[in-house]
Amino acid sequence: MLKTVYWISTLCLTLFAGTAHASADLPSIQRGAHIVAEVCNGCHSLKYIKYKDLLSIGLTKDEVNALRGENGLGDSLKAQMPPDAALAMFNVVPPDLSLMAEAREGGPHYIVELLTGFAPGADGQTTNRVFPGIKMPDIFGIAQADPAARKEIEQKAKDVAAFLEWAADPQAEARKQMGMGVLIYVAILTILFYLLKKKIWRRLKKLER
Amino acid sequence: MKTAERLLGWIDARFPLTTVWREHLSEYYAPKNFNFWYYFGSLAMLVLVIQIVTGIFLTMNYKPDARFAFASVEYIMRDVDYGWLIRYMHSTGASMFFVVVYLHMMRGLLYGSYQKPRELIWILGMAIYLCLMAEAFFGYLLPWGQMSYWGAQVIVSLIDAISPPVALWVRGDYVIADATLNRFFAFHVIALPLVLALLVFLHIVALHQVGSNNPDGIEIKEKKDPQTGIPLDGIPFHPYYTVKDIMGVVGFLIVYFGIIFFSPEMGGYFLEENNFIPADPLKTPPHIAPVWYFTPFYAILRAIPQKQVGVIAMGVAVVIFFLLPWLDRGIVKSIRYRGTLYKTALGLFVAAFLVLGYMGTQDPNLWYVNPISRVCAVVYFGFFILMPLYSRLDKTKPVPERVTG
Amino acid sequence: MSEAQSDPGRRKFLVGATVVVGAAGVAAAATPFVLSMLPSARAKAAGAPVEVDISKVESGMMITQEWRGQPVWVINRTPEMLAQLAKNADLLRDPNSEDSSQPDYCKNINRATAKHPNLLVVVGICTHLGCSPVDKMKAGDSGGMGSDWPGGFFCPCHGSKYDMSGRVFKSMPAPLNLRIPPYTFMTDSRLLIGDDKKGA
Repeated sequence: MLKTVYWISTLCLTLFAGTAHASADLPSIQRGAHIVAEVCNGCHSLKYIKYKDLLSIGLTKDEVNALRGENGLGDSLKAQMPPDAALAMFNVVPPDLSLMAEAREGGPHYIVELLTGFAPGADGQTTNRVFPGIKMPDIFGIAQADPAARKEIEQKAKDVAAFLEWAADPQAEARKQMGMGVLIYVAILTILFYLLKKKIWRRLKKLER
Repeated sequence: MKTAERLLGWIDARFPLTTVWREHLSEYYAPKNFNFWYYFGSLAMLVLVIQIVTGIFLTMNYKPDARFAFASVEYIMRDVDYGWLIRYMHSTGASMFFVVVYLHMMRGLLYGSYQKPRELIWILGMAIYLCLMAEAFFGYLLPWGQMSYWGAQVIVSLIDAISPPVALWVRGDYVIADATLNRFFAFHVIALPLVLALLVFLHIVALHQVGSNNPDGIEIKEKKDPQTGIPLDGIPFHPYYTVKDIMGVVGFLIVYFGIIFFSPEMGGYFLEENNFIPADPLKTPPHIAPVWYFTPFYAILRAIPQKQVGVIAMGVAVVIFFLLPWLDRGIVKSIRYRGTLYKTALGLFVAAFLVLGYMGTQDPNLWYVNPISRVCAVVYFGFFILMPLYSRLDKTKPVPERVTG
Repeated sequence: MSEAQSDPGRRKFLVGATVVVGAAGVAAAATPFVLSMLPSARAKAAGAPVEVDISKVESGMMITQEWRGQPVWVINRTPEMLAQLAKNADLLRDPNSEDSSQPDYCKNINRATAKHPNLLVVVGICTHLGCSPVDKMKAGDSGGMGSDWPGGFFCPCHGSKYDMSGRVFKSMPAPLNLRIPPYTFMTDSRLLIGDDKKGA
């Protein structure tokens, strides 16, 4: 019985894996790269992403040069505001964003909800429904936005989330491609060994005592 | 090939190669009715080898220093060619090790594999399990993420509840610190792997001395062919189980690689979200939970309000397994021939274990967590404590003369 | 081992096919581990070509630039130093750099490019056991090298001597001339060490 359970769940897993291969939305990631480098980098660093890494998501050399300013291609994306200044202003150092898409339950979805979660609070102050008491300001201004502007901001949030998802795991695409090949190979090998096992075990029937 | 024969002869005159091959493979007789539950021993060995090999390659680039550890893992993930693959193989392997080992232990419970004359195999296996838990615990500190740090802090503080000087000695500092990280690295990379390798060797030697149990729980050595002395229901391990176990390996690899390539985080159960944040001694995460394979025991710990009693209960929950060969007074080994009493007890135990596992992941402030954990803890301990009674009262069925497959 | 007589041909094929496919898998599985030991992205970045400003390196002067963790000397040789090079042949083990390591465009007596024959770009590590030779560029006895010293470098560890093209003397512990790395001139005042794709 366990054998049946195992094979059915493996089959489901394999099907899931095949269909879950959602291709990354490259234009969204590129837009997100610009927003992060131009807006978020004001306070947040991305210490595990270097400017030259942005070339691999399709930004041109000119675009990257424009974004990096004085920083070298091999430099990582640093926050423009120094940490102690940020600490003085916000009482907390804005967290590094390189792994943020993996560091929160719901990942990119959480990021979108957070960025669009600002709303005017009861006392007139802006609060965030995802992270009440957040020290980050409503950077895109969604709390005061009209419906048209709101739609734009929601798209920006999705772009930022897409970029941060890439930043947390730049090899995701390559990994899934490789995975398809590996699973097909292992499936073939399993069939071969299954046939070989059956072949060898047939000898037992002959020697039945 | 004459040369091959002569080479083999040269070796055999100096080393028991052919003898070992015959005694432990081609003329080692295992029951012919091994089923799905019997794959997990060889799979456990496979995962051990995978962990050691991937571990060696991780050690080439990992830095066991509190300042550099987290960044060195990101270095492996991003800058080292195929570093991400090696890392995911190791993290997935760690969780799969426990999946395989729990199923392997379950086989023992189902078929009474711990009963005489296999008590020592069981004890050695339990020792392996303890070492494995320690190995996983030490290894989990190494990435130096928030969960690494605070998980270690919580567990070592349990030692602190029993004996503060011992906790200080374990930590090498007043809190989990660089000193702790470095020594846990030494334990994880060298000390425990050596102990594990030795224990696994002894476990298999003890097994081969007595021979395997089987799903019918009858001793195949009791019915031997009068001429050859070979058990009537036995088949040579090689080629039958070598090929079958390799088939098991590749079947396992489908799941293993499926996880690695498509969902290595497993929804936060294999790689937890909090561990993507570097350790911060000043900021406790709101919800600390151990990795999934420790959660049943964690749930038992939390279920008991008094901290020291909770620690002892958690320890007993693990160690009580050692006593199984002597708690079980049943006259049959396999669940196939046990009565309703025993089957119910085992079923309840497994259910309690799984529910406790789930409760261990939940926020203890939720209304249902403590009550359910307490009930399940009672069932859990009841399974062992009442076993001498119900295993004897159990109305068993007659066991067959020969194995049934 | 008793053999099943059912169908030896097909059985052999199945065993063979399985072994071959399995072996291919083992090789494929070993590959990422082996490749992971190659220089990482960080090592490659640290070993990337390095730009040097040579506008201030006057005639007779030498500067040292680190590249891939090694000292690279950039020496602006005087006309006298260059003239001396052709006369050194009898002193040297490999005057025409047949066995030594240098880019093709430096395989000449100057061990330099046609456009900048005076500039010697050389890895300042003795080809014997890896010590860094010291500057004895001045010809003659002033550096304690003897009155007929033609100018060059001296390795203090085991006494190997090199001339002003980094060519090793005869009967020295060092077997080869000093190594010339690939390099190219981005402009006349900017030298790129470690890369010569643009040609010299």
